[in-house]
Amino acid sequence: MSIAEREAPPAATTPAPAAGWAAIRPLLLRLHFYAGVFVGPFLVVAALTGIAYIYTPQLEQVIYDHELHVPAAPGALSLDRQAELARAQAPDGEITAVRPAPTATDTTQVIFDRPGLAPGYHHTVFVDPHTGEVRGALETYGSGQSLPVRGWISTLHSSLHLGDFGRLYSELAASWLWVIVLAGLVLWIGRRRRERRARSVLLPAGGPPGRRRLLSWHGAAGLWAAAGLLFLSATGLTWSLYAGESVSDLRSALDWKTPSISAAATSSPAGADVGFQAVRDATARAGLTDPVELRVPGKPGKGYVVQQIQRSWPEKQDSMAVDPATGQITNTLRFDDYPLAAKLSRWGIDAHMGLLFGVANQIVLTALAAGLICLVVWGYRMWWQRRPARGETRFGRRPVRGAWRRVPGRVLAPVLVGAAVLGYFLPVLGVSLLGFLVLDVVLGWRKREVAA
Amino acid sequence: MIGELGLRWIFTLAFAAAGAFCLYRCVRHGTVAHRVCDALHALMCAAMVAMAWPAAMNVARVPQILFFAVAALWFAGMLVAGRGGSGRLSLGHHALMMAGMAWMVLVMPLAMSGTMTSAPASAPASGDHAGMTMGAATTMMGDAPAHVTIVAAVLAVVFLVAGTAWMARAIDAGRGDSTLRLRTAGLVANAVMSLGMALMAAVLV
Repeated sequence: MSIAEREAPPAATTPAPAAGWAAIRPLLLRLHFYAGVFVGPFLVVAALTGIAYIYTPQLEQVIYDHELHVPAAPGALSLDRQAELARAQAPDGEITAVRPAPTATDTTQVIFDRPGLAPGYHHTVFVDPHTGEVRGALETYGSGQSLPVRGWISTLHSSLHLGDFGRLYSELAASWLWVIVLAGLVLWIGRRRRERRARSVLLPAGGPPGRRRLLSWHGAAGLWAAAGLLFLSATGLTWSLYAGESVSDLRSALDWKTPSISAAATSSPAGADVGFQAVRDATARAGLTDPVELRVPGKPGKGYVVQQIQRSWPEKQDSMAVDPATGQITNTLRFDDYPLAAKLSRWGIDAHMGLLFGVANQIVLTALAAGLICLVVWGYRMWWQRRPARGETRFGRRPVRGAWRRVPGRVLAPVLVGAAVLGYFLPVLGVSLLGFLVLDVVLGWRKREVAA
Repeated sequence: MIGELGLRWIFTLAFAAAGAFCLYRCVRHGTVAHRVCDALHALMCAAMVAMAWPAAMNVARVPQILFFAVAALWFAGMLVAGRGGSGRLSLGHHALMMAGMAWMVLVMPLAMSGTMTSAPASAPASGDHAGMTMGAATTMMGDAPAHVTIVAAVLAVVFLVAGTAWMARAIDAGRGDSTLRLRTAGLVANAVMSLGMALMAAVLV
């Protein structure tokens, strides 16, 4: 006899576990209900701010029309001359990159690092490539060169302008979204499987208004939106504060990292530099088409990196390294040669941001976000409709307690182990789940004490 | 040694709780043989806690290896001595757990020849949500020998399955309980120890 078994098992007071769907359903219902009630407001905020973010490319074109656009004209100043003119506007700054005007009606963006800028932010001067007129200067963010309005809405979407603490809201929403969606899917398909009619699963029911009809709308809409919501949850987690680290670790472990070009220059004598225009001309001759960004050598011994920056389909993400002393191309990295996982990561991020397929992408994301808001509102409405007709309580009935007692150990134990592993890698999910469980246990004790 | 601090603390608390339970039962319940089993498990928990922390990496290994080898023999002896029924499987599990401890103490320096490093969070990555960067990457520099990796992977899977099975039994045993019974707590302690072994073995992979 092992140490765990020395006390005789209790006599037959233990309720027999239910089998199959009857055992699982109450547990899933409680999970879906409590997670939905708790995370619902965060999901609504993420959906609303997400819709606002999706349309920022168009918003930028309108708000910053003067900085971004110029009248078309023949000829253009060299990139080096444009950089010089921009430097006069930011004498304390250091040029880190230049984005040449991709068309005759666009400005050239000269990107500076200046003292006092927050991490990730740049000072960008917009230059008319035809006349050399400086059209303006703005604080921009990240490798996507987000202009201030996009940066502001992006921060609202990601952290509500509350810093790292605020990022917990979006991580909470992204961490729980897939759990709620999967639990809801299983509940919906499981509920309807007896009827064996595809229509009742795929389409909402008609009939008089009421909880039953609302449930059919909630279930059918959730089914249609599920794949998109799971995609948003997975890609959203890559930006999160804590789970994002796990995603990065996983990508490193599986060698899914985005490859980066080696910019080591072999022949640069100190100080020798052919300049932006020569670098751009060399890469253009080698087939690197606009739009591109020219990044200046980070330190001695390094070369320029010219990177394509188109993030709509077909993505242009090729890059070339150029020796600053000779203007020779020393290295080329093609997007076609990226590992599939790195390509998927690139496409996933750009689709999440509404950039990959242009307006179609924006419409789909808007529909998904609007659908998510409806799902949350319908969920709360159904809860409201479950409230008792009489009595003091103002809230609807909650799913019954003790659902876990009906689930066989062989089913529940792997679920618990899996939840613990997931909770570790998605810490916000893990900590909030633990909080749920502790609260549930405390409420259960209190209820028993009151009953006694 | 567990490199990640949060995981180290979770591991420590779990084994401290399991060890405290084994110690309590050793003092309060059972026959002499049972108490020896509990004492061995309490010591194993203490060793596991120590193994998770860098400071304990320099503790003499030979006495530990001898101790856990003897403990494995103890459980194997109980198994051979003919304890029937469902206990045979669990005695085999305990023997394997002690043998696994001896092996882990033996190979830990080889497996930990690399060091854990954390790369700084990348500058605003290609994702570009303002104020957000992709997470930092933690990587293990250096590789454990292949034989260590293979054995560790096998042990991790075996203890994961065993720990899950113990937990399933604990759930079934505690289903109707309104308070935690000694038997259920014992099953939970076994689950914790087995899953902890799986975790420590996984760290060596």
